Amino acid sequence: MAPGQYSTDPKQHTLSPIVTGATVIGMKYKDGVILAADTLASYGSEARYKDVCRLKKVGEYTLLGGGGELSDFQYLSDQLDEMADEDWLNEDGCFMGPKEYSSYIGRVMYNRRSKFNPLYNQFVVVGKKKDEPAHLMYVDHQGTAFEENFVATGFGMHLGIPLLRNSWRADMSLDEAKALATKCLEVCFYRDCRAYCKIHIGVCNGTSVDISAPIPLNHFWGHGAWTEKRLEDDDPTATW
Amino acid sequence: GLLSDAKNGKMNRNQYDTDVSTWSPQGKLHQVEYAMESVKQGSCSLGLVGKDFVVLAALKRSTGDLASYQKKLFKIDDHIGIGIAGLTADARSLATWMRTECLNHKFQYDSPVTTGRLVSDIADKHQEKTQASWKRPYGVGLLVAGYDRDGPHLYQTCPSGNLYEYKAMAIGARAQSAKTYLEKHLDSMPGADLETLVLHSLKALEGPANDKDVDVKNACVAVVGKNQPFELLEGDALEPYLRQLK
Repeated sequence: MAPGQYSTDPKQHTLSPIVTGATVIGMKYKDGVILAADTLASYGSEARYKDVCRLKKVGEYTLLGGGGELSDFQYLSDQLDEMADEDWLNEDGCFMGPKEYSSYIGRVMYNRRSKFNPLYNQFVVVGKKKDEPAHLMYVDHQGTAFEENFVATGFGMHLGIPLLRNSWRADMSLDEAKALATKCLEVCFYRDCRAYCKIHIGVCNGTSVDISAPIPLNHFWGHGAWTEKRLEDDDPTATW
Repeated sequence: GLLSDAKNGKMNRNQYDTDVSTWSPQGKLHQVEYAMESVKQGSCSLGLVGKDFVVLAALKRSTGDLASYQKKLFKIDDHIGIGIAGLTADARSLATWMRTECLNHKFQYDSPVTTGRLVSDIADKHQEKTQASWKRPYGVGLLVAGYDRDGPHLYQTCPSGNLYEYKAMAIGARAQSAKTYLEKHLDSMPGADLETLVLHSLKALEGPANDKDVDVKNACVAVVGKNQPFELLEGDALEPYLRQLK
């Protein structure tokens, strides 16, 4: 518009996401809690950025996994880094843990939705602070927030949660938990068109927070039903 | 002190003490010192730290037989409380601010605020008033007792904006006699149980009470610590402890 002109339309905020991440899986295990997510950021239906880490270490003891709008995940990550720096600057041996961060994120998300300017994300905030119990919280763009033993966002909610309900136990070892999370993301890759076959797994065990290097998933496409032709050659309408 | 000097006519009222933003040639801010005098005029409040508890105690003043006794100990949160000496109105303003901060922190972070950080913010609030010509310093000293994840703490705040952490401390009128008692028994405090700490706090009040009795009407005690949310002991609740001291 020309300088000096103003819009007569009511003020509007973006309500549909542009660059998005898909599923995030989180689950507690014997010694702490893990988070897993694939490395894809989609641009609508295009699998555009295939080497993105959607897990982020926050402070000393916490991991944030983000699905939904990637720029909002990055924005919140920067804000949380600033908070963590201020925490560190106090130099009093006290650090915020997953309880504090997940509660704070929940309040921010709810306040943003109440102003009709949401951060378009589904977050899983996990962590374990020293001898305190492991913490796992789901927070989303509506401000819905709850604590659980295992959660999944996006398509993972539909495809992964049934698998988690069947196999999750509180005393799982780290390897068992990683295997279960990997399996969920494998199923997501097969059936979710916005998912990908490379993942990160993050682990919080009370003493450290580590995000793995990218892990390629196994996937099989050689099923007979897809490789053998089934329809007759002389059928003009045959497509396969 | 300054007040007795003023009464004796010895005090040097000078051209540098009109407002807080003027330094004296000796490098003092006289208004801040006068504010600290106000704290010294208040009745005694004291605190002491054990291994798992902090105990606050104070002598309450009354203007006469018809009047009530001035409240000296305030709950700030389940894990923090304060004892005051000086301008009660200033103390209530600070207490309200502290309570709001504690509440907001609990709502945002689902977690009680760290006492040390809260007290650090109070000290900054005090300092602000010493660097503006249109404000006056707070005329109250606080003893802040808190129990955190890393144990019990006792802090003193001052109109100057300075902040101190103590194992035991007394402020207000005749505080020195309480401090002397506390120093004498300092080594026994980490190993003492809660009841012993309360008895020490009441015994320490006897010095500041001078020739008057420490009784259920003019004494008050508060405790906070491990598995012990902040609790005020007043009136009849003090009777069993005071009986032991006789």
